[in-house]
Amino acid sequence: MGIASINPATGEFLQSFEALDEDTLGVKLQRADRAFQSYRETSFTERSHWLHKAASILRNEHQSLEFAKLMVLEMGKPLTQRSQRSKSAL
Amino acid sequence: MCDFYAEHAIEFLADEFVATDASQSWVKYQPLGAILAVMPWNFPFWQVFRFAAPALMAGNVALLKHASNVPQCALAIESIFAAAGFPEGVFQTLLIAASQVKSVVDAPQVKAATLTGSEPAGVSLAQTAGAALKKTVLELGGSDPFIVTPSADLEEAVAVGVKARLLNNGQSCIAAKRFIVVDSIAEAFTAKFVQAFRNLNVGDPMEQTTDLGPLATLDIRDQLHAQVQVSMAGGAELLTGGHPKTDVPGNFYEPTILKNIPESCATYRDEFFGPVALLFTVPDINAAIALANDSPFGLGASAWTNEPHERDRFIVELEAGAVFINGMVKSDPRLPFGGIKHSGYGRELGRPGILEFVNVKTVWIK
Repeated sequence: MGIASINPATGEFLQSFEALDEDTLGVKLQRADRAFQSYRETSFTERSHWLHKAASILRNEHQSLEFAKLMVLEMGKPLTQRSQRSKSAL
Repeated sequence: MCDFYAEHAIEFLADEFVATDASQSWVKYQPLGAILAVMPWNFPFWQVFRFAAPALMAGNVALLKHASNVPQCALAIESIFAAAGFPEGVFQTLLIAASQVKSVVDAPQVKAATLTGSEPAGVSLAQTAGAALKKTVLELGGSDPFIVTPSADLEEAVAVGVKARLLNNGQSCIAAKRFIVVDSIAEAFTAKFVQAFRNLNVGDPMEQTTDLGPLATLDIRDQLHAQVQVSMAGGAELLTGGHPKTDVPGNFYEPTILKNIPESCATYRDEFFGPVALLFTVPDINAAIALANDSPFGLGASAWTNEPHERDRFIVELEAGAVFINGMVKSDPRLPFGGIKHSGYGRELGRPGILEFVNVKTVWIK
């Protein structure tokens, strides 16, 4: 099986994805390089602001539950353990 | 962790002035560019943020090649960075096959790579990156010892030991995998440990009452069962479990304890990536330390004692990237995380974690 979500608790096939072709991959690598040229000039204050925002998205009760369910569906982690490492990611 | 690096990166990467024969000289930390992260499925969010938070704070940009069984998690993480406001292209998920990793590592835009995963995956990435003279950080497997001595709090050691083995359905690099117990308390420890394993509720991971869910893939379950069978044929004693659960769909495996796998057995130095605890009994702490170190791995170690001289010996003599006394091995953003021996090299987290992917530039002015 290639790139795919399969529920390990049931064996149910959920979704599969095509791997990027070489051209699309090349575009993404170029995009990363271009992004670096300007991102490296950003300040710690700007980067901190964005990273705190990412933490707040992970902290949001509704969104964090959705992310946890996605993990359970794709790799079988008990939902009750969602707080143990995901909270630390904040 | 995101908050930790958001708050501390500025001090971790501040210029460091050093008195030399120059009028001024200092150390300056600069980003490298695009960093490839090859990440595992076992903690699909945590592992990625552990890499990305310091990398992005340092001014690098990130490319994620996630495990092929968690593509929706990989896309969700990319969407979080975009929603947080990071400029386009700063964090990108690459849905690619393992066979495409080499071309990414070789690409001139990619400056370094980090991998959390299996030993063979680490070897493969390091070979590719080595040929291109690009730096790598590797967080690979572990077979962490969990040593219990007579002075330990036995009830607590058992309770924490069960959790340390079975968290995440037993699929953690820093799970306690080898329980090394001194003879005088071995009977009492074993009775409680086996009973605790038998009391676990195995089932639907969405249910609140479930302690242990399925293994992530059928291959992982089959490989684990093969290891158990080889161990028993080689002389290990089965104390509980030992079988896949075949009465239900899904990749479930019974919580299992194997006692005293002989050194001659092919699985003696294996990592068991699932709900299988390996229990060893030893005469004293000299034997405990020798057994703990008789492993190709050196990630974490947990030792339980209330004797100061024993504690000091464990801290000094255990071959591991981390030693936890009277507690389970865990990762904490404030402390470095990584291994020695075949568990990999380099560190994540803490200040060492953010220094892995920067140019440590010396500046000297006459």
